[in-house]
Amino acid sequence: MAVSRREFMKLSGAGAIALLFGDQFRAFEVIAQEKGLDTKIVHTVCQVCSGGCAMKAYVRDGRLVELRGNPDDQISRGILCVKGISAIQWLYDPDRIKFPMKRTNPQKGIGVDPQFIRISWDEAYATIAQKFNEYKEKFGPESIAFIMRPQNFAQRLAKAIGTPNYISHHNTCYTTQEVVWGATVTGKGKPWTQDYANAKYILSFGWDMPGKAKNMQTQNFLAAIDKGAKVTVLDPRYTPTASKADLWIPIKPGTDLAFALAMINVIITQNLYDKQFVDDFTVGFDEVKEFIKPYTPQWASKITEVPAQTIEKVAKDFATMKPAIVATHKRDAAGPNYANSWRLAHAQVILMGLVGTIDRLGGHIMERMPKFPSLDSVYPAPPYPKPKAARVDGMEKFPLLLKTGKGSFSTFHRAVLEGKPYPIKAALVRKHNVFAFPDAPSMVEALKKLEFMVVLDIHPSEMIQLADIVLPDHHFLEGSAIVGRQYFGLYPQVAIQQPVIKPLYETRGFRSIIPELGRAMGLGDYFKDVSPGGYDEACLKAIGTSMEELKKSPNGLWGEAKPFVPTKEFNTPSKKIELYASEFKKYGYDPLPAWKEKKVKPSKEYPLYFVTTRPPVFIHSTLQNLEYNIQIYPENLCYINTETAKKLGVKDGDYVMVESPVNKIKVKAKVTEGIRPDTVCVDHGFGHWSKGMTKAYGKGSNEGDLIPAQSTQEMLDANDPSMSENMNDLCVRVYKA
Amino acid sequence: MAKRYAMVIDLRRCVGCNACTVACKQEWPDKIPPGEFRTKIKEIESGKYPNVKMVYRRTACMHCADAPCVKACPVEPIKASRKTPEGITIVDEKLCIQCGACVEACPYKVRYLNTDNKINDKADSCNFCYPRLQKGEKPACTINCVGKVFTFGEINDPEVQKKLKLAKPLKPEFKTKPSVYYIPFGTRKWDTI
Ligand code: SF4
Ligand code: SF4
Ligand code: SF4
Repeated sequence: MAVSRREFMKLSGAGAIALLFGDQFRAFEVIAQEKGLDTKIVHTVCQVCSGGCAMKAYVRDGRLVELRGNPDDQISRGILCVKGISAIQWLYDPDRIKFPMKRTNPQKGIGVDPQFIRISWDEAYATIAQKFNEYKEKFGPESIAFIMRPQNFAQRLAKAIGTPNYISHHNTCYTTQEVVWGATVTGKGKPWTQDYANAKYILSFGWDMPGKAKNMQTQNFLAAIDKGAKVTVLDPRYTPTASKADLWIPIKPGTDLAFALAMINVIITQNLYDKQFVDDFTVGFDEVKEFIKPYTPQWASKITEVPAQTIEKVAKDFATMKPAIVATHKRDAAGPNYANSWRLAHAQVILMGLVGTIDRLGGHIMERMPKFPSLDSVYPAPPYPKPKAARVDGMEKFPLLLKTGKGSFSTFHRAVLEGKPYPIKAALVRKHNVFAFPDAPSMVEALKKLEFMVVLDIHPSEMIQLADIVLPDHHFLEGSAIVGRQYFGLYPQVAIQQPVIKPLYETRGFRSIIPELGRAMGLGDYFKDVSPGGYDEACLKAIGTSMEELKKSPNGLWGEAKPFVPTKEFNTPSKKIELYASEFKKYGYDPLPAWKEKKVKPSKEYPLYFVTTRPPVFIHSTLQNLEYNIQIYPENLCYINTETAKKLGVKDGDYVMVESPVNKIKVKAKVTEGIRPDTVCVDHGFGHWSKGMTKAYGKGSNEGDLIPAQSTQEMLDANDPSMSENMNDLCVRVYKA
Repeated sequence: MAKRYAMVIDLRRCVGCNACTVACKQEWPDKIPPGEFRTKIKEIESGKYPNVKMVYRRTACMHCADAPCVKACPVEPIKASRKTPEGITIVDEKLCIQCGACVEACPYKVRYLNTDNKINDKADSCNFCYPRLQKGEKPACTINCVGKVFTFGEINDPEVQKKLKLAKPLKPEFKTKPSVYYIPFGTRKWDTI
């Protein structure tokens, strides 16, 4: 709807309000135009979480004043979540890192002032180049580690230096699911598009994305309920998701696998599976049929403490209310929480294979991304030196995980501390913090031991406090990129990310920093002509568009809506969904998800199960320094059942100690009926000790301190292909502080 | 005649994320002191484990037609706490004498007076984003709600009317004629103040 100037004048006042209410997006633009205000709308993409919601930024007189979802985006559909809108506070947070800095205090540690002083970008690059080259010379390239998510520019720099140590956090997050979906369905990783909106039955194994306000998942989940979908939630805690469910089953922590196995048993023995789909698109059904015999609902009932009839009913509903979806995201019950979580992920694939909702509407949808060329094909590189050493995190011993390019930050720190198999001297770190990794205190010790650490970030995080050189990254609202619709794409669509304001400080974009650093190190041959803009342009050219065109596009998006075409071939050795996983067999893992218990059970000393959650106003430890968000949720809570609290003499709002075999933390008790009496739940992401984070500093405690770290050998002994960190596989005791 | 507005909040859909709370604080950085809120989510738990139920309720000024806060305001002849022609309750900071009578009088406990801060030391509560309404915009809290909880508009708007059929005011026994209505979540308890 367009309103001409004359019409607008006529309608000004209350009339205009009524008229314009129908079209809230238009209203802002019209008013801005009509009043000649310097208001513009910039299309960009949210980068707070990996969701990638396309957003509209309203900029008035050079200042970002409001963010909204882009209505034509498959992911955001005109709405942003609480974290997305909070990006305004983040952008304008005066605590941000404003220029490159170097440390002048050689002491490092918690509470130690690094005494940073401002330096130029040139000095920063020169120092890093000199140091990195020195370590490479003296201790070999493997003495330099990259600690960051897989990213093609940085991966090239690591390869050019010749270090195998490109480390990331993922085995504390979702490698369980990544590896299982890769081996049985996708050949790469977990598909992130989950079509809840078209599902008729939603079964959550500890999935609580609505409780985290995950935008596309929450909108689609509620849309399904609108259309009459039934929802069952298995979770030891009564989550916001459970509050919307038809049935909440407070399952015993770590026993979801038994529940899933019994469901498979019911669906097969009662012939409820989708025979056509199983015949056409899966292999291994006969093996599953044989394997599943002992796993009856009666058997599972003893383990899960859920009545057999309930398990049977859920199985029947799941198989008959079509399409049915297993709701699962990252660190839920199928995440790396328990020693048996990867098996649960496999059982979930089998469940969805049996009812035919893998790459079918109402199910988990394989990636539908436009094909972008690789960095190497756009900018061919000279041959890379061959790494001479094995990785320090031990990931080569997990070949299926290695394929995903993800790493193990949690075993890295032990390798650093022990100096084995060889010493790590230097690191380049981005967007990783010491929080919520197992045994966080010894992680700090390990990072202190590094002789030279370069940290790129936006906020002065704890990692920054341990850095020797600090490089300030652009905030995403100051940067450029092109972003696919991985988190919800039923058809290929690309969104443009562009600066909504000029960078506020002397920051640079990550993808510009890496080539500049490479050149400073004398590795210019690998970065000849390499630029983020050039690469993005090449990607867009490959799909028949350009930056120019995207910038001019009325909605900042590329890609026409297309009807959904279900996949007929899957990316496995048999080209089918492998219910029986030949890849697991090949590498010596269980090809079927046989029942295994979680590792740690309650004892006299540690009588309570431990689970975690996080408040929707933060993303893990990020965003905690936002003034308004931390006012809303000023510290983390320990959820305790009313009866348990009574026995412990704890009242709502009291401080309690939560103690595990490795550590203890002090947190505020939240007494509730919404949790199992044998379980406590603690919010994750709190306990900032960096004084640079003036708003988050000293708020709450870090629950990562409670989690014992595993060695690579322990992980190998578990014979878990995903190198999972078992983040919730511990028990605790709780007492009044 | 001036427009009258109504807000309908669907309790069946709210996930308690407080995006509305953040949006409000971001809209009014120069009006809402640290630790104070014009709107916030109240979590209302009922029942015993394992038959527990939860309601997340956005709670802010109800924009009562018969507003106790207005009656209580001692400033004359123009009250500091008063109604606009559209039925919106506002605090006129220039007139507010910080007596706190309105805060005491509000039965919904949604107004605060915080004299100990540098941002705003006068009485304050939600004003339905009055300046946004004048520009043809909706209130800031309603824009980015993943639950699509809010219906806001002129009271005769068909969309508003449709929702109003399912909705009730909070604590009608206060008899203040609120402009904010709630669609209950089944029979769950939702009306705790
Ligand atoms: S933004 Fe919506 S879903 Fe989130 S708390 Fe507010 S009303 Fe509820
Ligand atoms: S809710 Fe309270 S502040 Fe709002 S109009 Fe009613 S009495 Fe006044
Ligand atoms: S209407 Fe405006 S002032 Fe009132 S709660 Fe919503 S955002 Fe805050």
